[in-house]
Amino acid sequence: MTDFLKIANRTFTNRMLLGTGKFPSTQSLKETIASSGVEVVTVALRRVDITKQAEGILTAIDRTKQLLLPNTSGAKNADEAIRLARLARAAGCGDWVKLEVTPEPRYLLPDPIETLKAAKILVAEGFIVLPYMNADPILAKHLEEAGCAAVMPLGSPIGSNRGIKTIDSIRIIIEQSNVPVVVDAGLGAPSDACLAMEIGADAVLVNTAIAVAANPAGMAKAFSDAVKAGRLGFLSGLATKMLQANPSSPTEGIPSVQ
Amino acid sequence: MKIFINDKEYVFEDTELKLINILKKLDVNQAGLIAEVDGKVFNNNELSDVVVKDGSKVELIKVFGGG
Repeated sequence: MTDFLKIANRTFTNRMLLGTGKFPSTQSLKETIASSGVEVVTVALRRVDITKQAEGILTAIDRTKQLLLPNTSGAKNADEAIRLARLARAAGCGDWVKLEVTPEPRYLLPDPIETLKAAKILVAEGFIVLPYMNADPILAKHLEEAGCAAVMPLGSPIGSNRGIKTIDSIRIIIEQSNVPVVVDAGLGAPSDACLAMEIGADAVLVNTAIAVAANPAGMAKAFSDAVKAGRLGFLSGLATKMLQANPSSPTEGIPSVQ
Repeated sequence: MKIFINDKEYVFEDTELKLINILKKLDVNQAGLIAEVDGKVFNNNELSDVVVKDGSKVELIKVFGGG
């Protein structure tokens, strides 16, 4: 069965996107990318501490196999996000951008107004924009209409590992969206990723739960398999949930007690 | 001349310098390094072309892990 994920002008076979933060080492990240077979990896742009011999992470990424998706993390408003996106493009990171505008550090929730504002400007500048957003179906439509290539509603706050707390809203977004829906943030266990795919999400983005695992490469494989299982479950048609029992064995011909 | 690298002041005797020489003086690892000089961005391949003058504001940036 051919089942590609198509975002903008690119097709992918793997429906898990990997965030590259918090890994114990570049080698660990490299092993994780290999074990999960991810085709999209997010990265961040940061100032270099010139007093340290900071090693970038690009050595872990094979750009012929993985699409680089620079994020705008750290941006607190549209202007800062736009600057980071432009910087990433000028630096040779390509035209794709995961748009993140998070004005407050405690919950890192995305600012809908500034995100939409930045999205319109970045789309006009030719960026392929994938916005991190709260699970708001109306906002998802606005972002789609603004020309975003996908929408990325959060399951729960970034790095919280709390799973999908926004499931009802994400279901509505999936029902209404004409662009791929990538469930991002808060997925803490492979079962969370599986659930996202079972309800019809097009993809998931995972970082913390994999990067902080005792065995990141093993956890990445577990997530990747869960994504595949959930996708196949969705495509195969899930059974309807019912309140009452419905016997799975024949109700006729039960042998009587002699 | 006085320049600013990531908001920190640095003073050099020269009146202008190639950025690449400054990076060598400061022993900065150039692998994957990106520079923004007075608002203009230079990718890693372009670093050797960049000239820094008195008052220049330099941002040294790299791609790091992020979600």
